[in-house]
Amino acid sequence: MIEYYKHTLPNGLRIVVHPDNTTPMVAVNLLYDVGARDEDPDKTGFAHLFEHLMFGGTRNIPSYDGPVQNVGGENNAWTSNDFTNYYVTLPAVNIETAFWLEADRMNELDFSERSLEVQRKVVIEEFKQRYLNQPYGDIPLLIRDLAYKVHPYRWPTIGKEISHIENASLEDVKGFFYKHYAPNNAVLSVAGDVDPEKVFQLAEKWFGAIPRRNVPVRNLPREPKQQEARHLTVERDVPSPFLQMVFHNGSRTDADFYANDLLSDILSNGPSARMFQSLIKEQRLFSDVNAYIAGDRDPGLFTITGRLMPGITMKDAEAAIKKELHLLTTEKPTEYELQKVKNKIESNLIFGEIHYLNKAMNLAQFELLGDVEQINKEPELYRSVKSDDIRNVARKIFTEENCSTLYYLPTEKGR
Amino acid sequence: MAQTIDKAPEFRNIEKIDFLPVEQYKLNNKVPVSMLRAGSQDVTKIDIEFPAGAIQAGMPLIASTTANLMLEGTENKLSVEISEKTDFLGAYLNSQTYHHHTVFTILCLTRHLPEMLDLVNEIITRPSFPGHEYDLYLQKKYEEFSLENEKIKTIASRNFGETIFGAEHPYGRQLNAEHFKLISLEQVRKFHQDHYRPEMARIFVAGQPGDDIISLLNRHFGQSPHQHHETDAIVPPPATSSEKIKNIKKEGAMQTALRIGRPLFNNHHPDFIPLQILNTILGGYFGSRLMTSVREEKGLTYGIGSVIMPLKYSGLWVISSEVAGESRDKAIEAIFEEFSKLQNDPISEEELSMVKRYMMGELLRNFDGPFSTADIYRTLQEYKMDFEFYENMITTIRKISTEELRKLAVKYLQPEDFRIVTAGM
Repeated sequence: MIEYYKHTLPNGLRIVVHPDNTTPMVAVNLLYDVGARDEDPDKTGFAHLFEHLMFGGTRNIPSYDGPVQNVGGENNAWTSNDFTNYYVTLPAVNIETAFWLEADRMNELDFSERSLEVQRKVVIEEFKQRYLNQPYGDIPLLIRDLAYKVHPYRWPTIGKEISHIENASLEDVKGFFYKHYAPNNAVLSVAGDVDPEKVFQLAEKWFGAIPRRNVPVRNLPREPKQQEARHLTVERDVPSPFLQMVFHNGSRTDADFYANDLLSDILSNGPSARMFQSLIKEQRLFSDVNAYIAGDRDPGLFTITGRLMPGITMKDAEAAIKKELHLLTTEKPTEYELQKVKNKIESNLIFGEIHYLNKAMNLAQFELLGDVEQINKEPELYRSVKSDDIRNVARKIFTEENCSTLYYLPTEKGR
Repeated sequence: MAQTIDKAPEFRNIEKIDFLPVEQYKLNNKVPVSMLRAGSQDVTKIDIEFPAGAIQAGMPLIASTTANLMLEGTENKLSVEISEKTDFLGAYLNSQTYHHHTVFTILCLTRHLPEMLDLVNEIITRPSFPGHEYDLYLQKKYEEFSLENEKIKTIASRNFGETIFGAEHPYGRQLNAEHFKLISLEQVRKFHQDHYRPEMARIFVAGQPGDDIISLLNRHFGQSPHQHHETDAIVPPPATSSEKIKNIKKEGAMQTALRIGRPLFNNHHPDFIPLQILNTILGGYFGSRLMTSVREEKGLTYGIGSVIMPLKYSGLWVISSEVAGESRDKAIEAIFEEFSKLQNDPISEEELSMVKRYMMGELLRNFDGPFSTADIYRTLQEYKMDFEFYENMITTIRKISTEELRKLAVKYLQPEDFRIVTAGM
């Protein structure tokens, strides 16, 4: 159980506080309800580029990082398809500095051509470092484009292509800010050595005067149901073939999310999991396998990956994975196996309650998903999943026409 | 625009760090146990350290293969039974091999400690090293090795290790394809026999392990008789290459990985702590000189940093980055320009006091909670040190002057002492 206190300001900013006096530190986490899914198809990568620009300073405070470091703090941020999240960890006695900085940049940024020019270059290097100049790095670009035809999940947060980042203009930047950055489009969560009442007072003091902004209602195209098996084969300079299969499943807030999550754990969470034991250890087809779900706010993907052992054909590798998936659609997992993955979830939830920053991020996300109270219902929702539910979910998603398959092969030269 | 407050709030300096107390015990056979009891959850982490590192093994691959294979079967349990048991308890069990030792780590809910310790005792004392697990492990490892070879940062850092210490030096030796042919299951068994006995362990417990922990540990690690056998490896001084710069071309690369560094000393040297402060200014935090120049002003990289790494018998100062391929020389030039600024222009009081406050905050962050504190403590013990080292660091941070830092820069940031390795475009 995570104890929390909640308050909403007149301008719509929601505040969630978790007091934890086992640490002298505090995390101040500001989660904005904007991500790569809110981008135009011809201006992708923008939410993430914008995250970089949020550190470019304001008219009041020319540098964001300087004052954080000056009070012993550290800060960073991340962008996903659904969210943009900013966080500061600092000695709890200096919490007010974080409020000052976050409120100031929520109020207004200093939109400068110079800052945009540099961050465009930095993000392009990030694009190369993490996606283009990394073995298998461009898979997220390829697989999303294959699995989605309409919904903006068809591009990753880094963007569809470098040119979109190169072409970003200052006008785009300004427009994006006033469209998405607003107190009524964010959740502020605070976890650490704090008194909730004092945090609410600080929130009022620093964020209270920021006006509510007109945030357009999100109206994203629905991805039509996939009707046919999709395939893509690419050749790259990599040492071994790689297979990726994705299935549309559902969203984070669906009732069967928990069965989906446990299903992926049965396949690949921990050394005893099925794919690891069967595909790596017994059949020796793969050197690495994985299964995971996206947990996105709009319907997302159930992903299976495997890197092939030398001499194994794609055909055999794919057939072996399909056999594992098929088994789950015909036979329920045993009570023992279900209990095992539930035990793992239980300990992971407890391990996750150790660190104040982790708690702050989770609280903010649950509040933005609908209701922070959900965070304390999760353990019971996992516990209540039955073996029938696992089989039903497997039947629902593991079908030929719901699958997109990527063959990622070494070029002749690379072999 | 709305009325917002543009005045910075008051803040306080962090004056001291409250280190968690470390309880010291000895098991019946004198195996030392260090314990940090703290935390809000009934969770325990136990590190069990053996003098079984890559250096004791002589050849790369042997020490890590031995540790990983110990988890793949015992006299009583198959590999799959070990995995099932660990997963069913929702626990994590893994090994990490370093230069001078290997550490087995258990992370679990405290109520599962008795079963996990029972399992780990079996793994340490009675592993069976099945041949088929050995073959499979090495095949998988070789695949990982081939994949790593494709990454420019791995190519750069492997070559950098050889450049600084020498290819035959215990700290410079790198894993290569040949080692996969040379290793044998016999070597692995022998390495286990010689380096894994309960009485050779050092144990570090963190979290809320409960009242029975010492008797539990005694049952599993305190029974075998004490023997004295601390024969430490002999590590010669670095044989740094005379070649100043080494460029490795990687077909198809879009970026270039840089490693620029020099051999140094470890934390027993009187200049080690002051140099940590100089390093923080140079490349040790987000607002560092290198990040400001190479990323925020010139946009040549996504990230750049520098770090001083102590080693038991040496040390290393290294700057790492992946930069736009066509800008390699520009980035290198920018890095050395920062050296020269630190040597010639005094650091402003404003920058220095910011770095001091940042470092104090970082210490507070690092010493927050039993797990990270225990990790720091275990590392200190390798150098036969305790938290007094950080007390000294706090004192040094408080009193160091810009002039002292400038002199250190003159002494330790001479370009001719540095070697450059690049891999990529």
